[in-house]
Amino acid sequence: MEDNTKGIVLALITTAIVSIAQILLKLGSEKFNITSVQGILSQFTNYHLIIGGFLYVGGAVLLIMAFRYGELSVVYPIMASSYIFVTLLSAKYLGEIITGPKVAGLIMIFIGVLFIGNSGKAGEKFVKTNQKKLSTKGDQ
Amino acid sequence: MDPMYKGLFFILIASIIGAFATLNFKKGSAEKISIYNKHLIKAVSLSVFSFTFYIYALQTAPLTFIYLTASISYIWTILLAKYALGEDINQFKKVGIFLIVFGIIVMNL
Repeated sequence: MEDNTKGIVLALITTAIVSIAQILLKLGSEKFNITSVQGILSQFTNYHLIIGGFLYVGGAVLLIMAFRYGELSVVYPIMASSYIFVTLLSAKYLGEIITGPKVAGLIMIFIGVLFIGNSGKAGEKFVKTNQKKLSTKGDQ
Repeated sequence: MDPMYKGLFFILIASIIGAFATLNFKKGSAEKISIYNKHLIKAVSLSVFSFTFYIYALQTAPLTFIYLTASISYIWTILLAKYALGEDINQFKKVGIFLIVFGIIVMNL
């Protein structure tokens, strides 16, 4: 149980970082062009893309740590909280509008993430399988 | 081709490749993190491949719209978790995934 919690916390931190990266990549994508030599060279000064890319890679490393401490079917869906982060960030920095459907969808995603986060409490069977996995991890 | 469809096509390919990258990240996470970790090498290679398609998708469609197709990756990942890793998919997870995928669709209405 404790191990899945650690995975969930790491997944949330990863999500926040990757969301910021996505905003930077969107800004950088406007200047993305690798169809000419000049275009490729200009990518070295495409700072949005470079910083966004680095944060993306950093997020991947954190994601590995999250996966180590939690199940794939728990850690990965938790990352859906990126929709909440990205929507808020793109409204602030890209000027995208938050519409009614977006608010409704985000509430559903939020509840969905809560369900996933609490899926560990759903019955003894899950706890048993989890404990088995923990003891196998300890043996390695 | 309509830029929107082009964007959707790119993100669909990116999400398929991405789901397999995720599976390899999970497999590799149990082993020591090093440049010799075969699962991580596979995962990073697939991610780079997926990333290229993702950038092209970003170029052609708005960021929030792209997520419509990306929602499918949650279903693929949960299927891979069950059939490739043997993880228990209980009712909580099923409801959670349904709400997430449906929420993403509602968001983009």
